[in-house]
Amino acid sequence: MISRFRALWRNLIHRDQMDQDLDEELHAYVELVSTEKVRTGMSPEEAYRDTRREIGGTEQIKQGVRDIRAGALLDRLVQDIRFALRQMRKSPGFYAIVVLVLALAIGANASIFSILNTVMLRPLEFPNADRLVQITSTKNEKPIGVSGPDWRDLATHNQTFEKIAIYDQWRKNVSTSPRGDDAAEVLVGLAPQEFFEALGIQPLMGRLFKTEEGVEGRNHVALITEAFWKTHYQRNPKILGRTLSINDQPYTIIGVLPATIPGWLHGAQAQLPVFEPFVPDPGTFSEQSRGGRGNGAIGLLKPGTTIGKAQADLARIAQNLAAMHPVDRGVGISVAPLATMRTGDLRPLLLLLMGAVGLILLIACSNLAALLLARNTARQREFAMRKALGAGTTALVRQVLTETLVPSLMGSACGLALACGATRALRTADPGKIPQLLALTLDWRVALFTLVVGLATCLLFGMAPALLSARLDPADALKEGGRTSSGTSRQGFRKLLVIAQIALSMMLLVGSGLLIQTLERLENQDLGFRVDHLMRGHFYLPPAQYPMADMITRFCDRLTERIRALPGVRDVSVTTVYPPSDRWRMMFSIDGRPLSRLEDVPATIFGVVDANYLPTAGIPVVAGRNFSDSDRETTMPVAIVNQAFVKQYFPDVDPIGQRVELGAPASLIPQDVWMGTERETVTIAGVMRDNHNQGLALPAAPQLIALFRQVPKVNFGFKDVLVRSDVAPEALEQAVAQQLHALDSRLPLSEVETMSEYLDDMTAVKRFTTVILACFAGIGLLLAVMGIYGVIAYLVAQRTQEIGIRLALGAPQSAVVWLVSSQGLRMALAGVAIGLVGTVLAARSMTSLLYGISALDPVTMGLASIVLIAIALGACVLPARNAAKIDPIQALRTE
Amino acid sequence: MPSPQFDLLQGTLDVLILKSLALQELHGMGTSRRISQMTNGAFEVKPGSLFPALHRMEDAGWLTSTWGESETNRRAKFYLLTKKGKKQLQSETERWERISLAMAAALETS
Repeated sequence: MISRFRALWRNLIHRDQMDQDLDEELHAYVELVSTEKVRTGMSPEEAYRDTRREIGGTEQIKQGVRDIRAGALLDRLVQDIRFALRQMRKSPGFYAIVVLVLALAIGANASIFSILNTVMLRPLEFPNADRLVQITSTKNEKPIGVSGPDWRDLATHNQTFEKIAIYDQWRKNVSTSPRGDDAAEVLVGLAPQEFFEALGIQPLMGRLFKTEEGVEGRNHVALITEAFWKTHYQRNPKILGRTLSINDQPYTIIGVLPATIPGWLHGAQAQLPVFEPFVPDPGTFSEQSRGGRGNGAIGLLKPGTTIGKAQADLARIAQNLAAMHPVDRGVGISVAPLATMRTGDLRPLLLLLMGAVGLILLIACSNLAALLLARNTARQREFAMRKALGAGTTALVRQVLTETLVPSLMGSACGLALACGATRALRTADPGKIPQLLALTLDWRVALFTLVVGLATCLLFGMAPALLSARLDPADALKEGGRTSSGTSRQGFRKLLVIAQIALSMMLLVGSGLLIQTLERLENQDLGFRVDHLMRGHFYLPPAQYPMADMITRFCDRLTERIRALPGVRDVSVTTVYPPSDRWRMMFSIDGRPLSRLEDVPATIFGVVDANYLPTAGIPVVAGRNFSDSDRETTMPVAIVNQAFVKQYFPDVDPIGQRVELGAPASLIPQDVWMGTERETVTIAGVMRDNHNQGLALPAAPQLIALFRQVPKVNFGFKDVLVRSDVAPEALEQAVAQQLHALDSRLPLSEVETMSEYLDDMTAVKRFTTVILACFAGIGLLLAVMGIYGVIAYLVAQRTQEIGIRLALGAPQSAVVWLVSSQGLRMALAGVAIGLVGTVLAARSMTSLLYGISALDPVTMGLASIVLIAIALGACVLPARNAAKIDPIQALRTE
Repeated sequence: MPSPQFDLLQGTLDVLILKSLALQELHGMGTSRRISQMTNGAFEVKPGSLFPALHRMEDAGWLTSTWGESETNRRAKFYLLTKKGKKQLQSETERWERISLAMAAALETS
């Protein structure tokens, strides 16, 4: 054994020495044999020749020795790799393309699938993840959240759940200092004991909430999360029992939670820092508040229960409820695996990316296939020559294998490096809207998969011609001059590959074209208000300090007074609404139009504002009058509706002067969700121009705004401030926050941003996706160009003789150019046609992502077709010119 | 009149080389000549088989080599048996004795 190793070492390290020795040894042998012959009477020359003849080639002997030497295998590998590298140096262009194509495909796939794995595919990290579900009530198929009474009924009557937990989250002012002057507005989770139990979460220290703490008055206990403990208390081990102030109320810290409750449960980017017990308001459990849905709910299925069974179980309960309570009519229930909540609205976009990157992989593979097939087919003559010169089949195959493997491995390595870089870049460039992207890491299984696909393609198509030629009779191959022999069928296959590439690129191009236009339309549409020179912020006046509606009104008046006095401020308004998205919905009835059924009661997007809202936001009044400072608490309550409201409810009558009662009619349901037992009637004083109020992608819905000073019942502490400025709005942010502080040092101003930033955030994910998709389309085009160029250039090379003859017979150069280009054009047309069919088939999945443009937009499709055909023709230019420049005499003489 | 030559039987080359080196060290051609002499010219080992075999056996540790001077005053590589090689020769000899006895017996009975 040891001697083998020693031999291996010797053979590898002293390779040259060994070769020299072998040379000398053989020389000695030849000389000895010749000397012997001379002794028998031959002349020295004759003897030498005779000996040489007798022993055959010394090179063969040397190879024989080399082949049996220890480490010969390794030696050969090194030799083959050297040969492969030499080949690569000889045609750097070809190999650069192979490496690049592989790098791009592997890089793109590994990155995108790592994203998907992080945000969508990876199983949840909860002990009973496979049994966790999200429960929500639905109306018209849309999720609307669950209400307290829902929870109670579902939790008590179901047969399929181990636990059902309701939860919620509110923006609250949280302060850790005893004076409460370092308050920050954070999203606080409200959750009962069951919430943590269902998720299987154990506190790091302390305990979870108890059932009896879910009652008003006993609920002043808080759980903080590890991150909050670290940043605010420096991981102080004696944290339990300390006091935390939430909305100016003292809460005792009873435990520290691990960092395992994901933010997406609450629609947040990161884990919520503080939890307090879920306390149903006194009203929440009253029968009338059934309609007040909007809480989240999760459930833990009993072992062995399926989602379908659970769904049927809860649907049965929902049906019973609808029969008992009029407000529950038309309300369904949906049960979905908790993991689907993780991606939320992003799911279609992510799936789109997944499809796109899959297309890239397909294009890349077919490209590599075409490239390698072409090259190695062209080399069949060389293979035949090698074989004729005595190379064994195995040696030939081994050589081609290494020749293919070396660039493949280089490409793969580049691709992985690219993926590493890309995931790192994505993590930092995250638009902040893709949940969990912060946890993005390159997934090795994904990397391995793409690697295997890339390598397999290379090997398959790189080796096929070599294997074929290995079976070939060298004489035949050489006789045919290595030309035209490879047959038209393989050319046909290459053309098919190129056509497939063009078709796939077409789909990518159309897809990204549609998304770019969608984005353009979303961002540049008229939202119905003035976006520039506008900033916003949010604050919350906690009921502990501001229990009465008139206190809130007075605070807001004083705040706007102070902010208006700031230099650079043109207008300011305290409001609860602002475009382009408002969620508050209010049931109402119109004076003189009695309603007899609760389900007929209409609801409108609603908000309360101060008199300056419309001019501050830049929304024009189109009929009647704006709010004015003379609309006071004591005067007649007025409202302004938008054009959509008029169109829907007053199509034929003048809306001005019409009276609207806020809240569902008391005759149908005594307790309204928002108005409670009270009702307020407002008179429509004006009509404002429609502005987007359901997000960027939906048209304006009916909307009604009133003055908060005139509707005290809904004058809550949650308020937004809008500032219209003459200067850059960013410049005012600090000054506005200072004015709020000056009035109450415990109040933080949160969500401070300019309106443009706010709008940018809304399209961030779409922009992110669009950019990636556009990159993919670019890569796809590049690959398709290379594919077309490769095929055409190869065709020209193969038909040099024919073209020469044509030219010699007097064919004009333009005819030759056309002869060559028409090949490319035919492929392009076929590819575009197939691509169009693919686009039409994929249209349905695109529709939900588009805005203001059809998935079958003819202009986009036409442009994409033209671009692709133009690019295909462009790729033909060089080979066509070369073909036209062929010298007939030269072309004919070479054969 | 040259004696009839045989193709080398599978596995015979190794034992012939070992045997030829049992008494003295030899260079490549010496080994070839010695084998020819030992087998009365029945086996003529060609260099194409001889040298790979010598190198293989050296790698296996049965032979060792030194550079010396040949009869023609040229640098030549001389091979000699190692202890391991001697052991190998012994076991191979025993094996071949058993085979030849068995073959002889088999051919006689018919």
